[in-house]
Amino acid sequence: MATREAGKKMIMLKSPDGMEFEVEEAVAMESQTIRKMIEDDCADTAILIPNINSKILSRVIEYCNKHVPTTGATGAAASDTVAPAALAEDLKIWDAEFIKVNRATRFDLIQAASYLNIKGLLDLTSQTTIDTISDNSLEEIRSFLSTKNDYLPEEEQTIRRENQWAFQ
Amino acid sequence: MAGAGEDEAAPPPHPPSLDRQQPMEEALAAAKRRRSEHYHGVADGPSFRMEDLPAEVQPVIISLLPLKEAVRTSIVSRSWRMLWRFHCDLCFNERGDVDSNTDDNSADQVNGTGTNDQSTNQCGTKITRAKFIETVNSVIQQHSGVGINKFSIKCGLLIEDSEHLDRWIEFAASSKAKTIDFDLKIFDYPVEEVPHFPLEALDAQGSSLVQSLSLASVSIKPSSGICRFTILRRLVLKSVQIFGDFPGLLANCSRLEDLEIIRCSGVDDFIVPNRLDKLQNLLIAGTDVQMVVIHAADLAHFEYEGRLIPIVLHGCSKLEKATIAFDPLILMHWPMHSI
Repeated sequence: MATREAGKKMIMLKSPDGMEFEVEEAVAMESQTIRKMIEDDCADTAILIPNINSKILSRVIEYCNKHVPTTGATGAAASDTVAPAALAEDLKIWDAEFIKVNRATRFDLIQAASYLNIKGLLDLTSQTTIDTISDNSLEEIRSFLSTKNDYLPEEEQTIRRENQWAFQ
Repeated sequence: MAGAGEDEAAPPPHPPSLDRQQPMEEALAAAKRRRSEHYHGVADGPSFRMEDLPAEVQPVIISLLPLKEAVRTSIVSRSWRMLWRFHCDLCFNERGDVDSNTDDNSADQVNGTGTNDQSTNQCGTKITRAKFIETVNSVIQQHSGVGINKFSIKCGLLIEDSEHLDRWIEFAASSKAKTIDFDLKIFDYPVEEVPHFPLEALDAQGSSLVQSLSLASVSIKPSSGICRFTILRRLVLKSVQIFGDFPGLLANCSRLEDLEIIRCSGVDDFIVPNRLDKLQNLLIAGTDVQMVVIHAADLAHFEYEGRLIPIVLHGCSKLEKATIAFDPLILMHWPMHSI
């Protein structure tokens, strides 16, 4: 088991496009996938994150930096003295800003959060996605998703009939 | 929509350089699969394709929508047709959003997905009982039956609806729902006989997979030989007619943390011979019992409301709060009451 007391122990994360990111172990361990690698001693000095490009990986690290529990934060969050409620509120505002990205980026963030198993980031990206779907008309949803209605009219009627209760 | 224009200019979601590595986990396997199968036909800008997301993420996202809205997404396009069938919270409420006092948050603590399903998963429409039954049957017939977190029915049902009830319970059990909630209370008129809830139907090879079970206005026939609720953490019984060995049922619930018994009948003596070492909260209200005797090392909150009876709590060293309200209308001798 890697020791957590080390505190400032650094881990190198590499993206497939050749970029390297040096992060604190505690920050990297916000990802359950990386945590497992570290705990199983599968991580020596550098961990290759196979399918996440440097642009997305840097955003993910930014997220983890902000969300790592207070001790050992890299100066970005001077939260030691802040009350938990205020801290949570601060994080919420920060999250809201963080997720203001275009759809493609958000999409990549969902995949990254899923692969790296970062629950908070997955919840945030998923919720933001669903918010764009909720309360909108079908046409608005299709327009937002750049999705075409590829049903034949009679197919659509069949589906509506199958679940009539939902379309009333 | 404001976001649409900006998104047209966005780069494609999958730069080709990304998919050269071997996948390490299922997520990657799924991601790889979709590239070979689905990377086509995006002529006018990148579209958001749910099936491009890792398989395990899709139910998480679709379950953030109320069930009704999730079903409506099936006509967005073909790729969306099946998604709602993986929705993990199936909550049906005949009365729309009228009732609000029957739930509390603890039911959702077992919920690992982080969804907030208190207000969002009600069907929201006022539908008659027949329509309600038809809807539930239709949904469970189409649903994948996997990954269900919560299965909840709130509808006044009659004895003659038992056939449907049995089917729903069977579905909840076979889909391994963690939280099961059946409230069959009829508001319009009083009924003497309530539908029977077959506890044995929750059996899955000798024990049940339910973590939270809440029943209202049903009858149950517990017996010690019935399936074991080895991971049940929360049991709430409201207006339940209990026929049989209730202590025997509790003896099979070794992980029980919360127990509420409200306006139930058929529990003469609440004497649980076995230790309930995980039990933290116990509420007995409006239930005609002769005596309460319990061993619960972790009990923190105890609440009793009812007529004057002896109450014996053994070994409850962690008790923080006990609220005992004897009904003043029923006069009895001074109790042999000890805590």
